[in-house]
Amino acid sequence: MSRLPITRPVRVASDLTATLFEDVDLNLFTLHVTLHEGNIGLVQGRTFRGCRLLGPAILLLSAGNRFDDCNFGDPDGDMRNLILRPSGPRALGTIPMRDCLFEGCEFHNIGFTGPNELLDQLLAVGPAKS
Amino acid sequence: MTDTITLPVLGAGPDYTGLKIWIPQLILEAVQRGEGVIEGKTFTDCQFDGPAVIIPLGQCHFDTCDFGLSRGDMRNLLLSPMGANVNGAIAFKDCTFVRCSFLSVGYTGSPEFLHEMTANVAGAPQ
Repeated sequence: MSRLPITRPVRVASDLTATLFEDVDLNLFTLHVTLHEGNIGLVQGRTFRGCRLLGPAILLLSAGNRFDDCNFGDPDGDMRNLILRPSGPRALGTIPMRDCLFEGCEFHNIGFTGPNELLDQLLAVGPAKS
Repeated sequence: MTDTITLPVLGAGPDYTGLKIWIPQLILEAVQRGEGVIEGKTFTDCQFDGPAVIIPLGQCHFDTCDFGLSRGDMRNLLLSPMGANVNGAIAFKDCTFVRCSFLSVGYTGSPEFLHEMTANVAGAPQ
């Protein structure tokens, strides 16, 4: 049974160092900064279930992320509006995520970048103008 | 539990001088004022911190700015939009940046802007 759309009231995540986030709302840049204090700078091995993930932010998709029953945001009829391709081998200023599981989550004001093969998978899930 | 950090209010400007600016805070304050875009501001001797990807709109000017550690290749700071619109980037419209520095900030925008960044900024590949 789908968790979407998320209609519950806003509930801000209280512990950003947790490994499981369930039915809470998170600013991705706050999450990144919290984890960066440990010189990690990488959101890794987290599970997000029934969460609203909030920007503005560009999420860098690395290996091992899984998305199940997620709403990636309003693409305005063209999934490419949610995607940016990195011009170089790195993508500074983005929020890297690796080995994370997203179940029944909504992304708000978030763009996505990463390796071409991952972006192509993302393009395949949504509407695209020819 | 996560500790709470309280930051000084940046305010509406339009002139910001000698400030350390966490870009997410700048946009959150703008949203609270009902502004969807940071427009018509002048930043002088400010240090901008991300994580953030910014998109300059209209007539933005960068005068003697340090765009950040590009790790030898300016393209590491740049992202190309795939569609006509861009989600997740922070828009600055008609803003001027004088002697500002940027840390953990990426840039996106029109092909012309991205080309100008790679062609004219130190750290561009030869």
